Amino acid sequence: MSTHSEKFEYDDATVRKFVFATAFWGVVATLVGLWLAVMLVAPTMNLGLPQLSFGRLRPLHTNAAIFAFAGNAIFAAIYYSSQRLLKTRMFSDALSKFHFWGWQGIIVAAALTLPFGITQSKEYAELEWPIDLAIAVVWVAFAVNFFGAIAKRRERHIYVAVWFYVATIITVAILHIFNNLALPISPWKSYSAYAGVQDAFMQWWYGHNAVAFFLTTPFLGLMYYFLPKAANRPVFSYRLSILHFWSLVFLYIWAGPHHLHYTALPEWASTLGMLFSVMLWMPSWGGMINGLMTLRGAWNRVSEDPVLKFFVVGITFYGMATFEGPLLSIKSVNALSHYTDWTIAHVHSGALGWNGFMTFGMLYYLAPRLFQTKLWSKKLAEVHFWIGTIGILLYIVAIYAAGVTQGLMWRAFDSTGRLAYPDFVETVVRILPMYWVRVLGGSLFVTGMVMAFVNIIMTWRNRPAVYQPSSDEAPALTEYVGPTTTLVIPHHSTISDTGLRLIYFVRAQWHRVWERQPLKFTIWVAVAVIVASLFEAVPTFLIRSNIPTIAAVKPYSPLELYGRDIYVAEGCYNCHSQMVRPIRAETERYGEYSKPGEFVYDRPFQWGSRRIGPDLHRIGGKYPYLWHVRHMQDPRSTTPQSIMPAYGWLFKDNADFASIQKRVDGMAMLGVPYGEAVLHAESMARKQAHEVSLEIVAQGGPSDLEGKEIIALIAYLQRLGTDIKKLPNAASAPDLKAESETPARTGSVAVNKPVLGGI
Amino acid sequence: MKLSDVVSAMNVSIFATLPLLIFLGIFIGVVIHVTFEKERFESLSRLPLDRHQGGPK
Repeated sequence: MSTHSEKFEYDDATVRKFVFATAFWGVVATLVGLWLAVMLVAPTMNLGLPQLSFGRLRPLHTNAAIFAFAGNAIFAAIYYSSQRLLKTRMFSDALSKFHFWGWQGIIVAAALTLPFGITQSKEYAELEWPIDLAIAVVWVAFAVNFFGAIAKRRERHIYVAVWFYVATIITVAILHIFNNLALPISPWKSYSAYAGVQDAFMQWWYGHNAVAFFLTTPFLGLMYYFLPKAANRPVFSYRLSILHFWSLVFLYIWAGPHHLHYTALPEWASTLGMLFSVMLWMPSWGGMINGLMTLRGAWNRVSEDPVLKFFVVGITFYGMATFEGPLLSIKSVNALSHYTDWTIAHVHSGALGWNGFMTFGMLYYLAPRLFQTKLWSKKLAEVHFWIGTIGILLYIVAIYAAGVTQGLMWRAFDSTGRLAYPDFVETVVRILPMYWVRVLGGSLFVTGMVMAFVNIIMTWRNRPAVYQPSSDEAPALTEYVGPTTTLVIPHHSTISDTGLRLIYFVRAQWHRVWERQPLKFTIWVAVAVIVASLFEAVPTFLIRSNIPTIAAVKPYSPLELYGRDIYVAEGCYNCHSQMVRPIRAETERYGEYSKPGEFVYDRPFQWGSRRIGPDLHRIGGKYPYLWHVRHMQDPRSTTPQSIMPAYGWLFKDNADFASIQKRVDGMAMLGVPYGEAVLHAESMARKQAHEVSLEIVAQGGPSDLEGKEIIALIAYLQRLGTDIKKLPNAASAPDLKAESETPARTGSVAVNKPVLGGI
Repeated sequence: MKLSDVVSAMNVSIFATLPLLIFLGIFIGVVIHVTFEKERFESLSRLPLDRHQGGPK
């Protein structure tokens, strides 16, 4: 090994930029969240603007919190700590700049598209295909920059924090690519490559692992670097960190199906997801204990140092969230918690407590070092800590109570065996006081976020005229001659070849080799993730009995397909599920439980994950057309205490009939049997719109809706969940091939003849 | 014969049993690894703190 030390400088300019971006987007993300919380108690606060409606804005909040706030935080952490752990500058300053500005461009693109209804409607993967492509390009640039730095490092051993970063980069790339496979039909619209059950499986494989590999593993890397630095103590147990790492990487990838308990996903898949989720508890707590025990001998400093305070509470929230996650994955618990605010509370305990507080601790640690001056106000950081902690507690306690309350009300029966609260809105009204407490808690958290932003800006303002270069020195690495994977048998050995191999394995020198050879290490991380994914995905996609065919289920008519796209664009899935679970309380309330075969034409699936409003899978034919008109125009005219916003713009905006043909063509390309509809989609849609309009007029409704978007949406809603109700002779009726002669799906209209008593 | 025929004919429990065994094997391997090299790991735990000296090479 060379003993000649090389001098080099770290690139702190990029880290500074990511720190600013973290603080700025943190304010934006939490402000949008607060606005959403206000709209849940005051639904008219969208001011009648479509861009401010809950369904369109909620994805902006989640994407901003995950990819803008947490994303920039992990990039700041990775750029700062990796350079110091690897004893090298990042691979390329140009790539660092491209990464930073590219990522901010993606965030701005998200902010400009989501409020305009441009969405794939897959939670945390809402962004449409051009932005997805941009994400892939920026991510690859980041990966090249990161692995390039590893390649030119001056520190032989790759510290465990960097392992977590490697797992993040590899796995997020895999998740992003495979979940976003879609067929573009226009610059801002695509259809998922997967349908129904398979789409749901892929989405929650992605969704859960976005939490795992975007919000957990990089933050663990952050913890394993910044906590020892802030406490000036070595990691409590490096060996435990290795167990922590491999267990998480192997187990996390399986857990996604626990988001789909009691749905149309095959039961074996959700059981598998539950088992691996429960197993995750142990390594997660191993990590939490490792973090907290790192402070041994330094606990006296916690009371004086806001950085350590944030880290301690952040790690404690990690422990709480990773205990609660496995708990919620247990089917019987999930039957109560799913679709309620319990999940929202769980998510916010992780996002605000774990991700938020770890980020704040890092920001307050980095600010004086990056800006080469004292933190502007330590006192303000202390106030931020307390106001943030109280804010989180108010928020989650209220929402836990709301979730459990509503879940119990949904399943309550009276002494006669009927639903105790048959009117869904009763269960909403009961939890509104808790929603107000959430607004209060959220306000406190946002206030703390603003304090952090001000503190960062003011510290930056006190910076020196010229930054001192952050330089370091270390000898260059020479060729590695340590343990190798090649087994060398000594000439005089009396031990058999097998014995030597056993010794080699037991001493686990293979792992020591991995730790120092990043390419092999990275490959094995990728293998662990891919193999685990395939073990779930292959049977989900290939076992035929998973999705029994239902002959009565036909493709949506062109107008219904267009209406479905409006449903997707408005983000209705953010408040309404389309999945009646095989639970008595649900079948009593909504009707027959949902079957896997009913979703084979659903691209993307719309099962949802939260019921702020009731499930809609059996809404078709439940109410007359006019009821839907009135409900969408003014929800409180049909349900006085509803918290749904009015959708006035759907009554003003003209339906884009010309776009329907390419929508149908796109679906046909994905294998949907559209028959003659691929030639006459627009005329078929116009004819059905005319018939629906006549039906509305006949029921005493307005006569000017035929060319409006609302007609398509109502046509879709009236179709929902009705195929399975058709009589056997209706099931064998001609499919869409016949609709070129009788274009409108009059079957739906006839079968679901309006019942005026429903008003 | 298609791949879906093969997979459909298999018992689904194999898709859980096999990876659990693989995980168990890897887990045991990692446990053995960390058990045998205690001293080396203790020095590695200080890596973030050794700013100018570097850790073990």
